[in-house]
Amino acid sequence: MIFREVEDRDLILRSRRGDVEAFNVLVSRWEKRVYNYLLRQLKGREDALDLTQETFLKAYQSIGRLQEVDRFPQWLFRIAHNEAISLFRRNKRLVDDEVPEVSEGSSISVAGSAVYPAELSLAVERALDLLTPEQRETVVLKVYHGFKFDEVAEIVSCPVSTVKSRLYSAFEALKGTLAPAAKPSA
Amino acid sequence: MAPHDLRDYLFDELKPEQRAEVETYLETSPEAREELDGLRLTQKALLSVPDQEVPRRIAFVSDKVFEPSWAMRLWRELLAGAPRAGFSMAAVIVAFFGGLWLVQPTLTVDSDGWQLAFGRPEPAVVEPSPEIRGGDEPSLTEEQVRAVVAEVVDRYGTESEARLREDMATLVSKQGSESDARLRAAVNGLRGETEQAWRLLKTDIQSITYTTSAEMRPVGLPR
Repeated sequence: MIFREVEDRDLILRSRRGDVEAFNVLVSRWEKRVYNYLLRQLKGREDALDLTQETFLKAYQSIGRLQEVDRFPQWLFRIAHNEAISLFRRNKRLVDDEVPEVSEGSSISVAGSAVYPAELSLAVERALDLLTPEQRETVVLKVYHGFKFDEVAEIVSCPVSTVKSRLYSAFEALKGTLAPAAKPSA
Repeated sequence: MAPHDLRDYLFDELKPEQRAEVETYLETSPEAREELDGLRLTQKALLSVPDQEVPRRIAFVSDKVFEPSWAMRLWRELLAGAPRAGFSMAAVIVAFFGGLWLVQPTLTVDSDGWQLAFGRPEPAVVEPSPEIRGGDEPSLTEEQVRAVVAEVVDRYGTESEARLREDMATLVSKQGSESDARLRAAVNGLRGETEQAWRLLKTDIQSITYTTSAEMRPVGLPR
C-alpha cells in the first residue's frame, strides 16, 4: 500500500509536468473506484460512465492546480461529486420522480431472516435507495471507499459534524433491515 | 454508557487509547457488544455488494477527447515548471538589464521630438564665441588675466626677474587649458602699455608657455 501511494504520487507529479502516459496510468488505477462511486449515486451505468469520463477530463485539465499531491483521492472524488451534483441539478425533475416513497410496504422484505448473497445485494441496493442522496453518498464514501470523516467533509464540502450526522442516521436506518439479513443462519 | 461512540469505533475514527477504552467497555457490556454486532452486520451487508467493472475503457489522455488546447498546454507548462519558469524569467531580466548597461540608451525629448541614442553620450559640441575660439571653459576671466599681466608689468622695474618668471608661470599654469586666443586677447589689451614692457612681456611669455605646458601651443603673439 505504501509503495502504491508512492507510485501514485510520482504519477501525479509527472502528470503535472505534462506526462500523458503517467496520467493514463492514473486513469487506469482510479477509474473503477470513481465509476463505482458515481454508479452508486446515479443508478445508471451510462450516466456513471459519462461522468467518470468527465471527471478524468477535468482532473487532467486542472491537475496543475492540485497543490497537495497527497490529497489527490479527495481532490479526484470532489470533482466526481461536483459532476454528480451538476447532473442531479440538470435532471432534478427526473430524479425527483424516481425517488421512491418511503412506506412500510417498501421496506426490504428480507429483513428478519438470512438471505442468499444475490438477495443480500438486492436488499442492500433497495436499502440504499431509501436513504437521502446525501446519506447515501456519505455511506458510499465511508464504507466503500474508506475515507475518513474529514476527507468526506472535504469531498462533499460540508462540516465534519454534518458528515457524522448523515452517516449515523443512515446506519440507523440500514441496520434495522440489513443486519438481520446479513446475520449468518444458525 | 460507552466511553466513545461505537460507530466511531467501527469506522476506525478513534485514537488508539480511545479504542482501548471502548474495548475495555465492550468486555463488560453485553448490550454494547450487541449494538456493535448490529453495526458490523450492516457494514458486512453493504460490503457484500462488490464493485462493478467499468463496462468500457475510459478514454486516455492520449485520446482525442483529452487533447488540450495550445493555450492550455502553454499555461500548464508554465504552472508545472514554476521553478524553471522563475529561473528563465530571472535570466531574461538579467540579460535585459545587462544589455541596457552595454548599449546605454539615452532618450532625449525636446521641442523637436524625441531621439533615442545608444552608447556613452559625447559632450555637447558648442560653437565657441570668436573671442575664445578653440578653447575650453576658461579658468580665469579675461579681466583677471589683464589684471595679473598689468601687475607683472608694474612690478617689472622693482622685482627680480625670477619673481617675474614665477608670476608668469603661475599665470600660465592657472590658465591650464585656456586657449591661446584668450591669452592673446589679454595680451593685446596691454599693447597700450610701454613698448619696453611689451617687449619684455613678449619674450617672457613665449619662453614660459613653451616650458610650463607641453599641451599648449606657443603663443603666436602679433607684432
